[in-house]
Order: sequence, then structure tokens, then C-alpha cells
Amino acid sequence: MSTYPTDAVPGSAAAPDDLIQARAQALEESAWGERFHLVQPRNLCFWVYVVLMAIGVHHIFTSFSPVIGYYGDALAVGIVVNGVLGLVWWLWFRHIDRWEHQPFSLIVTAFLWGGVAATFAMAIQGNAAVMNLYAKLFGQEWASAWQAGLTAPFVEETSKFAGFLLLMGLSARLVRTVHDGLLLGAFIGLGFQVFEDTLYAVNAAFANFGTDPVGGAVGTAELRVATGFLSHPLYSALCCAGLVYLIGTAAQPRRVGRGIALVAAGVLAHLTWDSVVAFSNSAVATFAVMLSSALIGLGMLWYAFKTAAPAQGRYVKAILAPEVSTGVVTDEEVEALLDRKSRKSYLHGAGGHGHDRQQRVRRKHTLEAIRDLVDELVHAKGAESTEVEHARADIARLRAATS
Amino acid sequence: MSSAPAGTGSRRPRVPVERRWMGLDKRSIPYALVALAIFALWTVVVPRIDDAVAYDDQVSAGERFLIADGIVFTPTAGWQVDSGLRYDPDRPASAEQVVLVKNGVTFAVQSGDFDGTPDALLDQIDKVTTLTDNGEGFSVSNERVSLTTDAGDVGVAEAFTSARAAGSIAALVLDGTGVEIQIVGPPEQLSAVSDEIVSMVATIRRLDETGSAS
Repeated sequence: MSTYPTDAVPGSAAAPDDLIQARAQALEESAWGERFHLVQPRNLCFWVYVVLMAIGVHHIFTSFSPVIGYYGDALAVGIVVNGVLGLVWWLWFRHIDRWEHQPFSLIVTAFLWGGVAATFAMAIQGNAAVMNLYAKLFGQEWASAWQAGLTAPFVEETSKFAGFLLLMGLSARLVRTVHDGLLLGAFIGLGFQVFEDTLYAVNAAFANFGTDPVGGAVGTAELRVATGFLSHPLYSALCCAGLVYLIGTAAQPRRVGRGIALVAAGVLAHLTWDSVVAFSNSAVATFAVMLSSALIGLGMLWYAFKTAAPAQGRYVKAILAPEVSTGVVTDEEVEALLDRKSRKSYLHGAGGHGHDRQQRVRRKHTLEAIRDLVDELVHAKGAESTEVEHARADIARLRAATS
Repeated sequence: MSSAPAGTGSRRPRVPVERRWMGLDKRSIPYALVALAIFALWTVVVPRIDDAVAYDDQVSAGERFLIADGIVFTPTAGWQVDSGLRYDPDRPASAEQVVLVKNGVTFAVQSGDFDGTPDALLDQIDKVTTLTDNGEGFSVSNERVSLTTDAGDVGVAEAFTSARAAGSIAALVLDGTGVEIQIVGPPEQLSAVSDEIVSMVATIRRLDETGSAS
């Protein structure tokens, strides 16, 4: 049942054919709104995913089951603290996925790869072997200072992006843009961080002869939370975005230099952060290393999002172009949706005091309603639907209130 | 590779026949093989290289190893260092577990905060080992024996057996720091190096303010 009067709102039928075709092409190319199916018996990536996940589950069982009897409370603390932190990150990543809305099943698949297969089936064994080799080849003292920084970035980043490759093989249409690399990489990294930190919390319960398992787990969880703001989600977002550039897809032409730069930035940020122990004798050096790691990582993340944004903007403009031609939305509103400066000037155009402030709030609502329209058009694959009509009517209602 | 359009509710399209190999979608194979190669690299190739490379780091006469902040011991020369850091007054470091190996006998030392007596520490070690799966079949001898270090600190030791190993555990407490020494190995080899083990345990001591053993 319609909530708003829709008779006066023009539909896409009134829009020029070339704009409708461009919209269809944008939806086809972006694959926005498509579903993800993990179970694909004819896809080798599916079987590799299943087998490596099974190996990971086996290792989780063998890692945790011996300690549950005595350290069950510490394990529970680790799960709760890291679970809450993971949930906050999860919600943030969903929030910044403004247009594409990666399918829930796809991000769960990515998250579980990071937590189970990458961490337990691959990274733990790889890290141990490489660290042993460092100690054998370069001595215990050298290994103690450098092994973390020169092991984890290579073993863990490759273990994580093995999962991203499987996702590309499982759904070449859904995993094809740099933005996909950033988002899915972040979820793979998030899974890795949550599961790895839980393992660290349990290991900490063994400290001091296990006299205070819960205190040990809480202390470690606090430390990881305090230093974890720059961690696996960031590293793997950079690496996976770089991988999309390196491989090249139907929606993203290969850009080798940019790809290498992003992968190197992810590895380098991880390497510098994990090498802090080598500089532990100097507080200034420690701070400088942590700062440079943060600057490398966050700077390149900003760059990656900035380079990914135009492609998303093109899709949004193409999807909304028929609506602009029929007067449902305006060019100014489309620009305000996509560009921060334009949004500011669009909202400031409404003024800032008293009655004008109400207008400003209404304009904000209008932009939100236009986002809803994009979502509905994506969901309907550009066709007309009751939901699309409702979204258009809602914009008209808000605009009438604004004018 | 398939992603059904939203809302169609139809079956996913079949993989075209010319794109199949052994019934599998050919386009999925390179991605899967690279992922498998990464898995094999970290879980098979590198661990095998690690196994093939032997430790080549023997304790030299007079070298001291860090057990905890301000606590060291002096191993007998010739033991192989599997892990642990040598004490260097000019290069402060955080202590790690020390693991030394000789003729199949492992001598492992670790530390942690502990306020009780050596007996209480040994009780705690036994309790944790028994309650975790690692302690499967774990049993200790009925009698504990005292040990005294060269610095005059008194600890306790007991023999143990488990499903996987047999040996001894010793415990000391030095100014709020507990020290656990675990010795594991075949009985005949343990007998062969028992004098060296006793001697190594006896060298456990605090460092004075100048960094010398007190």
C-alpha cells in the first residue's frame, strides 16, 4: 500500500532511452545489488575454501580445547572483549559501504576466512616456521628483535589475500572494483584480528604460571584494543585493493604501479608496526616508528579510497541520470551526494539559523531519500517497482517541504 | 562463477560446456591454485626447510642467559640453544623462555610473577599441567626434594611422567619472581647429563645493580 501520493512523480519511462541504457550498463558493470552464492560445486575456489576452513576449524579445536577446562573464563573474556571490538569495526565498515552494500553472505565469508583459515590453517604454522628459521640463521638475539616485523607482514598478508583471491574466483562479478578490495579486505582483516586477539588473550592466561588467568586475558585484551586501531583491517584493505589493481578486472583496468604501491604500503605498515619491539630501548624511536606506520597506512588508505571514489561516483551518476532528466532529483543534489564540498555548499545554501536550520535538516533528509532511491533502483535492477515509486514520492514530499 | 541477479529466484546458470575442465569452471582454477600454493608455502614448504636447517648455536663457556629481569643463569658449555637470550649488560632485553638441548635432553626455564613459596609454585605448576590436556597422563613422584643454588636460594624439585615425556620439574622463587625449570628426556640420557643439569640450576641468581651476578 502506497504511503505517499505517487501520481505526480514522473517515472523512468519519461527519461531518454540513452540514459536508461547508460543506467543499465552501470548496474551491469558495477554488479551492485547482486547476490553471492558460496556453494558452487563446479567452482574449485569453493572446494579450496571449504577444505582450508575445515583445517582451520581443526586447528582451533586443538588450540582451544586443551585449555577450556582451566582457562574457560579467560577464553570467555577474550571472546567478549574482542567480539565487541570486532562488532564496532563491523558496523563502521558497513557504514562506509554507502553505495554498494556488499552482500551479507559475502562479508561473512570474508570475515570467516580471515579468522579461521588465514589465522589457524596458514599463518600460525607459517609464522612459527619462519621465526625458527630466523633464529637458526641469524641468532636468537637478532630474531628476538626483528622476527615479528619480518615474518607476520609476509605470512599473514599473503594468508589473508589468498582468501580474497578465492572470493574473486567465487564471484568475479561482485569482487571487481578497488572499493571491493578495500571493503572485503577490511572484513578479512577484521576476522583475522578478532580470532588472533582471542588466541593472544588465552595465551596470556598462561602467564605467571596461570595464577591469574582472567587478569592476564583482560590485560592482553586491553593492550590489543589500545594498539589495535591500526591493525589487520587496515593492512589487508590496502593489500586487497592493491591486488585488484595488480590483477585487473572487467571494471578495473590493470594498474601495476598503483597495485604494487598499495600492497607495499599494507606490508610496510604491518612491518613497521610489528618492528616496534626492535626499538624498545628508545621511547622516541618507538614513537617515531609507530607514527610512521600510522602515517603510511592511513595515508595510503585515504589515497586508495580517493582513487576508488570516482568509479563509484560514475555509477551513481549514471543510475540517477534518468531521474535528473525527469526532474526527480537535481544535478546539485547528485553532486552533494558525491562530493563533500558540494554537500557543504548545498546544505549551507539553506542557511544556518532558526527557520533556515530546519531547511538544512530537510535538505539532509532529501539527500538521504535520494540514497534510498539509488538503493531501490539497484535492487530493482533499474526497472520500475513500487519501492522505486515510493522513494521518488518521498523525495518530492521532502522537496515540497523544503521549498 | 555465478552471481544470480537479485530477485530472479531462478536457478543459477550452468557453466558453459567449453569453459569446463573435469566438470569445474576453468576460470576458477587459477585463483584456487594460487590460494593453494600460498597454503602449501606456509604449511609445507617453509616448515620443511625449517626442519632441514639445524640449530647451530652452542653455549660458550661463561655465557649467561636471561631468565627474568635481573635473574640469570650460566649454562654448561656445549648445550644447544633452541631459544632464549644471552645476557648483555649493554643491550637490555626482555627475557624469553630459555630452551637448551643436549643429547635428546631438553632443559627449559621460564619465569613469571609469583609471591608464594617454591612449594606453592610447584603445586600451581602441577595443577595447571594436570587440568589442561597437555597434562594427559601427568603424574608426579610422591616425594619432593630440596635444591640449593650457589647463591643460597632454596627451591624444590620433583620427578614426573606423562603420556609423552618423563623428567623433572624444579621451582624457585626469587624476590617475587617464580622460576620453573623443566628437564625432559630419555632416562639414560638424563643420567648422562645429570651433573650438568644440577650445575646449571645451581647457577641461577640475581644480578646486582652493576649487572654482576650477586
